[in-house]
Amino acid sequence: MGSSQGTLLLLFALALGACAQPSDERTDAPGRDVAYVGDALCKSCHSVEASHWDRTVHARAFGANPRTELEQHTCESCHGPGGKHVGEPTSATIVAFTRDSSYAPEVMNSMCQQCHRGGALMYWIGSTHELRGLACSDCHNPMAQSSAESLLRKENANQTCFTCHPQQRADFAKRSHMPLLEGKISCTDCHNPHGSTTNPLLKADDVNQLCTSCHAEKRGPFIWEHAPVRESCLNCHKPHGSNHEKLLVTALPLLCQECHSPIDNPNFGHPAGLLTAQNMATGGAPDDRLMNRGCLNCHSQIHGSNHPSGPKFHR
Amino acid sequence: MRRLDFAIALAAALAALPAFADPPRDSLHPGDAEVWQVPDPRGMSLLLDTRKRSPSGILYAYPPALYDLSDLGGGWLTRGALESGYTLVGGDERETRFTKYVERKDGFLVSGLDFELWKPETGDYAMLRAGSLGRHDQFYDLEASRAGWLRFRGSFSGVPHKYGTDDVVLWNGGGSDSLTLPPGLSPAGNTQSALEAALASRALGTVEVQRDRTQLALRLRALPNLSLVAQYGLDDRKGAIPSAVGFAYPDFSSSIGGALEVPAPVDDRTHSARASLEWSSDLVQFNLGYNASLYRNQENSLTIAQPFESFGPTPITQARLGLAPDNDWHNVRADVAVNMPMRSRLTTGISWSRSTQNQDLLPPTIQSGTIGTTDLASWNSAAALSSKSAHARVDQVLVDIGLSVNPWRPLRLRGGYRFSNQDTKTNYLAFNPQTHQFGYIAEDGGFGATFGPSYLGFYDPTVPGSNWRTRNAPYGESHTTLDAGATYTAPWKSSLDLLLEQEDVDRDVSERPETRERRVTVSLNSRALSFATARLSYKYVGRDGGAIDYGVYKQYTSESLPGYIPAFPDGDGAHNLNQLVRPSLADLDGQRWNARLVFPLGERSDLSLAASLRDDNYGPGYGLTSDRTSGVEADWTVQASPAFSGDLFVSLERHNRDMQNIRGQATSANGDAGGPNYKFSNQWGVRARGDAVGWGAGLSAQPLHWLQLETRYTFLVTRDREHLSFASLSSLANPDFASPVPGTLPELRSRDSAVETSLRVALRKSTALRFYYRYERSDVDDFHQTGLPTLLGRRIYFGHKDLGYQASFYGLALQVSFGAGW
Repeated sequence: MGSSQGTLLLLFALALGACAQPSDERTDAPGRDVAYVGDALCKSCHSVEASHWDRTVHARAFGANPRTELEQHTCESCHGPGGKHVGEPTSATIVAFTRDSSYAPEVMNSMCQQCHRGGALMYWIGSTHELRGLACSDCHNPMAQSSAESLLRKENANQTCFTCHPQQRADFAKRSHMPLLEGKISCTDCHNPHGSTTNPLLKADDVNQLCTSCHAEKRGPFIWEHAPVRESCLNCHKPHGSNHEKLLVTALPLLCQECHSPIDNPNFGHPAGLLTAQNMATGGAPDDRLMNRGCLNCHSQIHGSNHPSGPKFHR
Repeated sequence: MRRLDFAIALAAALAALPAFADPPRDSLHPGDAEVWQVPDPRGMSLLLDTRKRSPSGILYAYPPALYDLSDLGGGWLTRGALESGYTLVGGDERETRFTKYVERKDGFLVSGLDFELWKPETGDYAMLRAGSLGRHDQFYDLEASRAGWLRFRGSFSGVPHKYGTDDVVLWNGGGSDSLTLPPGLSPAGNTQSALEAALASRALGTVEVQRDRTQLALRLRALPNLSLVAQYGLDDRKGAIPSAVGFAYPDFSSSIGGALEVPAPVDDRTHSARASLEWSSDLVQFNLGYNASLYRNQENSLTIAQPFESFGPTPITQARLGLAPDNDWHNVRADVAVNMPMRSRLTTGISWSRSTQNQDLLPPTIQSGTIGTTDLASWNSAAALSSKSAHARVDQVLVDIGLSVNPWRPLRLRGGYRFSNQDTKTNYLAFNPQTHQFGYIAEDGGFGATFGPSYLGFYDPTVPGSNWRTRNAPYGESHTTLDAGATYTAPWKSSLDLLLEQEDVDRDVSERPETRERRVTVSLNSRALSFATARLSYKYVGRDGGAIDYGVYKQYTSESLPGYIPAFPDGDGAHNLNQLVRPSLADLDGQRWNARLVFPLGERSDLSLAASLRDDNYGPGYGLTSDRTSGVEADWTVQASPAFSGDLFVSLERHNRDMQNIRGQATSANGDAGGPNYKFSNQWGVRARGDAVGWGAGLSAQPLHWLQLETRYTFLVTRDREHLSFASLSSLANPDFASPVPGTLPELRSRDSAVETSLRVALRKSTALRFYYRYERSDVDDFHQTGLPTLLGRRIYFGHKDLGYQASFYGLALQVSFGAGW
């Protein structure tokens, strides 16, 4: 790490320390020595909250089909026993899931994890979101049905993710993009925000497995493979959106010329000379590599070829 | 689909991957897809004066007002709504980009449907949402459940994808596996003027693919701690996509076609099946799953009639492309997590996958006749193949182990080991058992017809430098990653995290078999400040590795065959510039910064700021040398009341991408920069500079209880300019046309703006009118398309261009609700 960057980070940390007050956040989960009071009492005061919550899948499950003793406590299964809160109705006497909660996010999360553990949440601990101190309630609002799925804080997963990932919102609006803003794909089609075995939180073992789950025609394996394709789709493509066609990371033919420089011989290929405006369709020496599909005007099977005469992806 | 495949797909539908993702929608309903929602004027609570924010400080939105439910009897409650009306398009509605992923046209439309049944006593409910019924971008989403026990989800989504609506396609048969010339033209027998006339008479056409996606999922909570999940998906694609076929270099060919743009048929299905069981208890969580994906292509090849004049004893009349072969992918995965003392947790994941493909292979060529002394009849049947089918296979395994220990509450330590291996088992030999020759037939004889019989594509031991691919290269690699991390949680709502990683990659076939990457990540997260939440991170990435040696590829070419005569006295031609390697193999010195700040502003507003910088520098000096992207985004949202909310955003991105290369010449086997093949005087470089600037604003207002307005404006402009530099005219692809040589290519630019408005007027409690309007304006300048004709020398293109357009989409719809009102 560069010394200047490290110094900046250290200074920021010190500044934070100077500005911040010691926290009185509680880091232990509430004990069960407090009495449960029952949801009827909760709803007698929190009528508006209850009216929204009653329409959620949690309420429908806890109300009609509680499978455990915990679920039978409905409101108190998430917020903890309400015995103290009845006498002192503040956020200090109940587990709240908001910014003014007296509990640390890890405790808030532990309340959710009483039920929501394993499955898609197997790798939550140690995941990027967990290490960044996110609480479940940063993305979810179980108290109301704002989204069709997953009790999100906003109307869908994409809008929820864009709150912290605005760069991706800009990417999806670029010239070539995955059809997310058109409603045809969602962030959660590719990512598991709760954690996975990959750094970008992918819902697969690696990038190619994920991409070829929809683009299976590119999976192969082919008899003639293109090494960067076999390695990772991201060698050539951006995953969200690009200023260039086909979500390419840069313009053709430069993308290919970042790896290839064959010598000038029919056996070995055509040389990687610099193409200029003269090589456009309107120039003095039009060259396919600068027009239309670029190198793919001939090397059309660039993801791999299963044709016996396709080692250079012409067939 | 074959019965066996169907059986496999069904049998495999016993386990499932992660749970239900966001259901599909369309462009009219990108969000929740309720026919209409209004915020609840009561907000979330009547008890609290202050609005609630998430722990990170983001204001929660007002929840939607509750629907009234009607009593159906028998304990069932219901509600529903329907929106239907008429839509109109105006302006440049034919432009490709206006309808790239959506269908917009004049006509009647059932634009929204939602329906709900619920029985509170049992927790049974069903929900149906649908939109754009009958159109190519329609969606249906059905959920039926007994809450807490069983859940079924079925969805259907149409995804159109237009590639061009202004395409001129010379051939008949687009969308089929055979492209034939129109009447009046004959294969290999047409002059330029005849082709010009034929292209001029062709109407503009549309090249597009329609993807229809069906997904079924079932989740059963068999026991309080045990869930079973099953999922089946079908992706059905039909249409055509732009593809291309070449016969020879267009500039060097005095006959036959150079590059021809053709529509390749798309008619395929992907069956995916998943089944899993999930066990979770306080101590142990366990997932076991099976996944499968079966790709079936109804079209395996595309035959194309070659339209240009082809001289010589054997005219090149046609080509045949191989299309994507059927393939199968199977995966078994197990994940276990154990909670241990000291707030510790051990996770282990093991995953095994196999991809196979055993399609019957096409003959090396479709051509007949004789070129030189080669009778193509000995190459145009399956008898010319060393193997009648592909026998292609790739096996993958992943092992991931992680341990997190919390010996002292503020301090968490963790370590991890990750091993993944991809092993290619494909072993294809390009050998003709009839002629006992290694190689193939390049470009269906076009290459040999252009450069002479020794360039047909197979090894000739009498010709120096007769270097052709003879075997596939079985690319595979293994990654071994070790990581160690520590998180310290300070008493002032802040945490500091340090992560060290080392990743070793070993590649089976590569010019650089070994690389090692080291990563250090430091992050600081804080809610200590009452006025902000801050998340900062810095990551350093360093990579180096072994020597680069392109000689590894010799074993897959005829250069490795006995008696091979090299092209030059010092050996065969260089495979590549020795100091050029793709970015994923190159030495790397990279830094990545990320910052996210959330500022709660009063009771009704928040401001989010994000900034990022990625600065990667690559060695050893050629290929990609640096890649730098920086961005800043700001979002301001205000929720003045349930009746008024708005947002404003700005995004700025800048990117620089530098590369260098050398125009190679064929004089020796030396592949070094500065050597006789890659002279420094032939060196050139490109500095790509680009940016993207966007902004937008949205407003949601309900000034009167019967009047609602939602409007949004977005704007994005992107620019990319390639700055060229070269050591001499010999660096250029065409030195003869050196003057004048601009220092840049024309700017790649796009500018997009859109206004989208919905105005809803409630007529009665259960009836409303909705007026919808969307206006788009877009301009694209792309030098790849500038002046692109349909015929240029020995090239044929569709002539597609992304043109500037202004187009509007109007809709007037009646909303009717039953069983509920607003």
